[in-house]
Amino acid sequence: MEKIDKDIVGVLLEGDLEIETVVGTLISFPILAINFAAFADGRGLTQAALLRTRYNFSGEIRAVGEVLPDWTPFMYRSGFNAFELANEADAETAINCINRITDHYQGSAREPKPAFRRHTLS
Amino acid sequence: MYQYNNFDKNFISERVEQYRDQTARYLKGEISDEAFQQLRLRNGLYIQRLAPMLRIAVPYGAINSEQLRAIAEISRVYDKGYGHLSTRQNIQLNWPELEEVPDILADLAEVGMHAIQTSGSCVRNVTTDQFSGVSADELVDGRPYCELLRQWSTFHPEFEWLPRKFKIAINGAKNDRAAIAVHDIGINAKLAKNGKPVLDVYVGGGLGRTPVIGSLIKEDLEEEHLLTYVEAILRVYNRYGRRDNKYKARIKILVRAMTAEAFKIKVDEEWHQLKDGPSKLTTNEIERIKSFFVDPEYPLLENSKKLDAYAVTLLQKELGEQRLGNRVFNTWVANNVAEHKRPGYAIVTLSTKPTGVPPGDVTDTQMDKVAEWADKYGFGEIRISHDQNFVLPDIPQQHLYELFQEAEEFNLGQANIGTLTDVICCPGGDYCSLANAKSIPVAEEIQDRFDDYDFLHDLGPLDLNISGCMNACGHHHVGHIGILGVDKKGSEFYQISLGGNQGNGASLGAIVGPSVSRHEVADVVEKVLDVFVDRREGDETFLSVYRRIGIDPFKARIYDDAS
Repeated sequence: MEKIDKDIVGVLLEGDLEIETVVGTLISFPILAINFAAFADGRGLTQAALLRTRYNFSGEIRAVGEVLPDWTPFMYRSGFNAFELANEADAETAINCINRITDHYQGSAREPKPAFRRHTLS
Repeated sequence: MYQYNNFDKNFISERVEQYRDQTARYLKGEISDEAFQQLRLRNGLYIQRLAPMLRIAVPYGAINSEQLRAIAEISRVYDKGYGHLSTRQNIQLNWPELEEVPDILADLAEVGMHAIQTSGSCVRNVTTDQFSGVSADELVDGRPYCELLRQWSTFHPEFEWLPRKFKIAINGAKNDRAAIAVHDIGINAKLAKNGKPVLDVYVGGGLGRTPVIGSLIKEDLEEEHLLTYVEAILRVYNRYGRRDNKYKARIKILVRAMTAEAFKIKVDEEWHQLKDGPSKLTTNEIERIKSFFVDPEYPLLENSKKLDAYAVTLLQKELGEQRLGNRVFNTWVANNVAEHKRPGYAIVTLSTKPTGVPPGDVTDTQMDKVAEWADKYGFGEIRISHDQNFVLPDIPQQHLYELFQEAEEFNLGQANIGTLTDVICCPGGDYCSLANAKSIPVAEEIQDRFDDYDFLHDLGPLDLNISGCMNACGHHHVGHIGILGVDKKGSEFYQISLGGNQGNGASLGAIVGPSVSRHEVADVVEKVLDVFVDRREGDETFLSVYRRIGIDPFKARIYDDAS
């Protein structure tokens, strides 16, 4: 981990961090930034999901590193609520990506109830 | 079969538009090749040696006649008029244009089909017994669990970017036709003493470069915990699976590195946090999904038991006469027809492996015909087996002969199911850039050499599996006879293994000796069969003889003879 600002606003986490070992400290920060060393590395998704669902972290979880617009939906649903995109111009594309699929089957950090608990199906 | 409701339909419709938008942005240069590769794989689109390949999802191998006809039409409109049945029960088109794939997906969505997650490092098609719901040896129907896992895994945000691909298989019969022992997660559904279905969960099985049989880590899991337990496994894998080396990234490597015991403990720790959460299945949802997998309206023999018995006797007599009158039909019934749970019915496997055709390849005409027979003789349902054949699950016995004759006419009547020439074969060097050697010509030569039906039938069950490279897409490790293409000093050579087995009592084949050149392969197979026939007692199967006498007699015949 490293401090990302000398005023100690938040912490930067790498994908291989065992968050359980330091979670008590982590959740005291207002911002947690999780680094995606490669866009295909999905570990940050589990880290965010655990922070939200197991440790009830309610601060900002920011995706940094290889953050591409088409990947933001997975991050968003896993509990990320801030995204540092390589290209500022991609912001609108990212929002479109997030909004494109309007409902999902499984429970997630953002919506823990699976569809079968939310839909009234015969 | 599962019927899509509005939510399902809307989902795949939105998914098509998502992919259409991604393709458009890619073609405009707004998405890199590398990024688009990941996105297109998750919609089934590979770029292969000769052309793009689209893998269409056939959930747990189940497809209806309307859907199969739609694929036949798609193959005509967008491709070269044929498709390929894969070893994970999917259908592949070999020549679609990248720009047209969104349109293909839109056409598929019209009939409730898609290509979601058939490739890429995510949870793939959950596969099962191709005789689910109709087999005489079934204990529990695995299809509802497959459908529940399909929905759970579709666009699961946390598990879309795993270290590697993830394959789940479910079995619910006495004989495991789903090969659960060689899957990342293998689930065996059975009945508890109180009559309720329970699940045994195996992890870390697999083929490829480092073949291994899965380890049992959970026994008697209750149905309602299916999703939470699998989620726990995936979470442990997503966190700790290797990402530094793609050849060491499957869950089997992690389980072995941690040991199955330690892996189980880690999964249980995670599961205890999840098991009573919102992803625990409700009785309502379990019943809802199960309601799609009930018996069709069997009109035959519905009335009195006395009538049943008499009608059955008549049918047996008629079938017996037909078999006596036509030797090939006789063999076909023996090899291709399996016992149905309901008297008077049969399960038919249509072979896609006549000589001279790449195993698993089917033309648009054949697809249309299979759809037609499903409607005419059955209840409109078709299955794809992981042996790359079509299955018609509910055929009245009195129509078997008629169906057989029609199948013969359209080159789907080969009576070789479960025999030597029912080869599982990957596309190999003719099509695939990963291959070391061609596999299809090897399959053809063997099918040519051993085409005498009586001989094949007498040999008994014999799985011959051919892979063009170590990725083992042809499942050579679990073939009774396995053939692996290798590159020896720039030439195509083949390594032979014996004694693998994919079902109950799964085992991995042992290499018999140094690899041989292509023109020697059929001779080697013939020598292996010679030893088998020489040493066989009664009507022992090949596997049984191999396990009794060991590899040395085979080795001696192949290599000592050659010198």
